[in-house]
Order: sequence, then C-alpha cells, then structure tokens
Amino acid sequence: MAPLLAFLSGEVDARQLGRQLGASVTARAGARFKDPGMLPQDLLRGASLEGVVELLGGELALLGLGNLRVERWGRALLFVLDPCPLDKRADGFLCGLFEGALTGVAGREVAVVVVDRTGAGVRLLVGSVGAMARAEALVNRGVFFTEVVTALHEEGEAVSAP
Amino acid sequence: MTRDERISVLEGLLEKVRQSARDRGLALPSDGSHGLLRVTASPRLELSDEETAAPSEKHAGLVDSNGAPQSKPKLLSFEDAPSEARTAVSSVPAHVAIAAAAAARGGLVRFDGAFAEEPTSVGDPDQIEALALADAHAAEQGRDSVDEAPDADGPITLPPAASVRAPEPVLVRTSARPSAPLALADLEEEFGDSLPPQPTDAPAAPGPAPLYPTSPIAPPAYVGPPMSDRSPPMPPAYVASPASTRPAVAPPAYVPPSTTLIEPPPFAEPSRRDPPSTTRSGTEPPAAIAPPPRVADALQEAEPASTGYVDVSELDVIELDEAELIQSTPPETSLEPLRIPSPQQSEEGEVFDRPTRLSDATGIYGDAEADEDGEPFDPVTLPPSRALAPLAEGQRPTSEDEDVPASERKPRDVARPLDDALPDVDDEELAPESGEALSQRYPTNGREAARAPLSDSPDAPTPIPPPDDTAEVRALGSVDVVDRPMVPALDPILMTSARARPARTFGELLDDALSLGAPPPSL
Repeated sequence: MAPLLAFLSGEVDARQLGRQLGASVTARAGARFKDPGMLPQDLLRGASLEGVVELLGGELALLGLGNLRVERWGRALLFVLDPCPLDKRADGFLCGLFEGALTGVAGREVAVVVVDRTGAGVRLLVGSVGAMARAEALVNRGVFFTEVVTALHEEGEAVSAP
Repeated sequence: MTRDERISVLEGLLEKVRQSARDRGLALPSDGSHGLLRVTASPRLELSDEETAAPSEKHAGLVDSNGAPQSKPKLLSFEDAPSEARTAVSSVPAHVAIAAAAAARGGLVRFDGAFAEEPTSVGDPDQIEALALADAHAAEQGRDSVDEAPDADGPITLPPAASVRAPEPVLVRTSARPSAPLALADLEEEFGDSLPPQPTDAPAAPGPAPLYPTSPIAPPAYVGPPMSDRSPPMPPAYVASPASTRPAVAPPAYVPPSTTLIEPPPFAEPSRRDPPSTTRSGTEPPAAIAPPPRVADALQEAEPASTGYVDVSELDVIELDEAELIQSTPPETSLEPLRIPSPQQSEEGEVFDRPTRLSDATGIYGDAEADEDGEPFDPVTLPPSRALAPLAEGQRPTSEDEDVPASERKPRDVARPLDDALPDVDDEELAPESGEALSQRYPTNGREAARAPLSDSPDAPTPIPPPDDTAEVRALGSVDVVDRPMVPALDPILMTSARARPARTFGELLDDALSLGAPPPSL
C-alpha cells in the first residue's frame, strides 16, 4: 500500500512502483517452497526454470498481469506476458516489476527492457544494465528484438576475443 | 240495326276504305261508282213466301241482331255484275275476265253466304275494313290485268311466257279475322256456265294461274336468297298481276361446273387391283426378295414370263401424278428372264424368303407380310399380270429426281453465273509485296517458305528462318536399358555419442543472461 501511495503522491515513478511490487512477488513465490530455513530468493535461484516460471507466473496472474512465458535465445533470457492487459504506457511499470523480482534472485543489479510488442503480448529482455541500455537504443531505432539479441551476443564475443 | 242502317254503315266504311286505299296508292275498281253496293245487292234479293215464314222453321236461325228473320243468301250470277264489268269481260280473255268480273262485281261484299254471317253484320269497322282492303287489292289486280291503257304504273304488257316468273306473294295485313281469298277457281266454279266464249284472236292463255300464290292473310312464304346452284325455275306461268310483275330475265339454267375428266391411260388401269391394305406407297425402299429355294425350283419349271423374279430396286418405285400418267406410255411387256438366286447368294445376306408383290404398271409394290387373309404369298400362283418387268431404261427415274417428290422438284437453274467462268481472274493469289504478311488465303508451310529461293529484289519479303531442329525426338521403343550388378549387402557402421546436459538452475540461467553483452565470466 505504501509504494502505491508514494506513486500516487508523486514521490516515486511507475518503475519504482513496479520494483517494489516485484520484490513482494518474489517473496510470495519463495514462500511456496515450504522451506523456512532459506530465503525466498535463494529458493528461487536453486529452483529449476520451470519451477520458477510456475511460481512467478502464478503470482503475476494473481496481480492480473496475464500469463508468463520464458524464452531462451542463446544466453539471453526473455520473459513474455501474453496477453498483457497493460499497454505501452505501462512499459516502465512492467520493467520495474521484473527488475524488482529478479534482483533479489540474481544478487546484483538487473535491467529489463521491453524489446517487442506484437499484438497483445509483450516481450521483455533481461540483462545487465549496460547491455540493456544498448538494447534499448537499438529498439528505439526500430531494430527487431532478434537482431537486438544477436547484437548483444556479438558484443560479448567481440569483447572476449582479444 | 235495320238493313238500311247496315248499308249506310257499310257505305261509310267503304268510303273509309277508299280513302285508305288512295292513301296507300291503291286504285279501287269501284271508284266513281258509289252506290254500287246498294244497286247490286238490293234489286236481286227477292224473298219468297216460304222465306218469309217463321224463321225458326225455314232459315235455321238466320236472324239478325234485332231478331228479324234474315233472308236466305242467294248467289249472284254473272248477269248480276255491273254493266261495266260485263263489257270488259266480253273483250278480254276468259281468265282475265273472271278476275275483272270478280273485281267489278264489288269484291268488297260477297253475297255468296248468309248476310247475317258476314263480318259486316256485326258492324265491326276493323273487320270490314280488312275485308274491304283485301277485296280491293284483288279487284285492283283484276283491273290492271284488263286495262290496256297506260296508267300510273306504266304500260301493261303481258310478258312472254318464258320470262314470267312466279309472282311474289302480296300480303294484306288485317287485324281482324281473315277473309276468304278470292281465287280464280272460285270464280270459275261460280261463273263457269256464264262465261263468254274465248275469242279466237286472243293470245293463248299460258295456263291457269292463281291470282294469289298464297293467302293474302297468311304470312309470305320465306324465299331464300338467290343461289347460284338453285334449281331452274318452274315452267313459266302467267300471272294476272302485271303491275307488280316486272319482266325479269330468267336466270340461266344451272350448269354444273365443268370438270375435266382425266381418264387414266390404259396401262394405269390395273387388270387386277391389289387390296388396298396390301398396297403400299413407294416411299419405303424395296428389298430384293426372291422366292425360297423350294419355290425357285418350281419356278424353273413354270413359265418364265409369267412368274419371274424382278429385281426391285428403289429406282423402280415411281410416283406418277395425273399429268404424267397421261403423257407416259405403257411399259414394255417384255420380262426379263427369271433370275434364281443361288443358295450361296442367299446365305450372303440377301433376303429371299419373302417374295414381293408388285402392282401391275405403276411400280408400286407391296410385300407379302401384309396379306389380308394372312396366308403366305405364293409367287407360283401369281398371275402373269402380277409379275412386273422392270421399267424401261428411259422411264427409270434418276436418283436425283427421286429424292424429292415430283410436285416439289425445281428446274435446275443453268443460267446462274459461275464465278469460275469469270475471265481474267487468276485463282492463285499473289503474295503481298510488303513482305510483312503471308497470304491468308492458303496456309503455307514455314519450311517450304524458307526453302523458297530468295529474290534479288530489295522489296522481297523477309525470308522465314528455318525451324530449329535441336529437339531430339526418340521413340519410346528405343530407350536403352542398362543392367547393373547387384550391390552386396553390407551392414552400416553407426557412430553414436551422447553427452549428458547438466541441469542448470534458474540462478545460473539468470547469470548467463546478465553476462550477455559482456565477456563471459569463465574466461
């Protein structure tokens, strides 16, 4: 309720509001493992991809944000809400939501960028903050999300080659 | 009503009748002789003592309206007629004089019956008027017949006997009861003895004729419109009504329309006609029919001219109209010798099981299967006249003439111009000089056009390039089949390898995603 009031009062933006909601979603999803000795973030980290999608997707469905699907394009990891009830104006809120949920699991700063909106679905790319900044720049130029993913993979190989 | 009163009434009515007759254009014979009735009737009525006795005994109830006994009616003799009438009668023929006497006698009143029974006795003006008109008309007819002077109706001439036609009925319309017509027969009976002898110089009377063909009261008999085929008129009879009789030209005697009787030629008259049911028209193609072998054997022994096989073809079937029958000549009676088909010929398809009956001269044939009595037709019993010879060569119709009936044939128009006969017209079309197109009249082969020698003229058409013969066409039968040796059975060696994929947690996958765009941490 406090993040919502802060958002309504204008102290925080929608992205911050989303991060606060994401953190609470991860806490509720970890609590479903019935392991009181471990933190919910650790439980989700050690869980399989399918298990995480099931628990996290359940919590997002309860919030009314649609069905959750996870796509792996190489090393890239993409979260897809299809259908998504929110339009493009709520992209910041959605990015903050996944950033708040995964930051606790990854143990470091995570950035999320909306790279594709096709029909009622929305596709979000998870990465480092620097990489997502470049990816956002590519998306704003109109590059398709597959090319964005390819570009991120090429950048990593180019850096590691010398 | 006394007698004088009745007479006065009658006189008044008579005046009315005369007036009515004048209005209608009728001339009364008693014009100018008023009082005739009184004069002719009263002096001759002499009553005897017996007649003046009790009316119930002698007169059988002849009592007038006042109860007075009536005198017995007395017939007038010829001498009772007025003097004028007698004079006229003495100078005219008897039949005319009779009518004139009847008219002059005062036809209005006849005293041949009981006076009390006359219609005038009751004093009915209508009845009296009707009677007076009828008698006046009769009197007019009699007067006109004897009047030789021209009157208003024109000269009176007696038409010749041949030109006199039957008079039209004259109808006198009366609303009261009909009066008795004055007929010539009655007058003859009445004045038969007193009639003067017929003058010798008078024309012979054509014969007695009634003054009125029909009763003047009765409606006229219906006479239909004149018809051309009406029966010729009756023998002429003189009618004593010249005023109303117009000399008419006798209609010509009925002559039936002339019909040209075309008698068939002798050969068209068959000696023995076939039954109608067995005679067919020549529309169906005849079949070559020959007697069966057993019959053929008998035919060989019989006279060949009488029973012979006639090869009937379709050309033998002729349809002749009347004109052709007249102009044609009888066929020759010579018969071809009998041709007996061989058994082999019979097996080859010709039908010889049923003979064909032919009519004698016209070529119309009939088959034996339609025989009326159902008996099989035996050509052996065929009389000689039934066996026909084929028509002469000149009489055989051509197939072209046989296609259509003779009535629908049209003469061949030989005067029609033919295009082929046009002079200076070359049938071969020259190629266009432009060279862009070949002749479209006749299809040309491109190969032949290519082989054609080129012309030296610069305006010569562009030659067609030779066709490209690069395609090789081989028949399917010339396909080569190469037999290869069988491949030995060898077991393939399969190299298989598998590496277990390590289970990665969501944490590890998330780390890989965060390392995207950055050098891998493992290096």
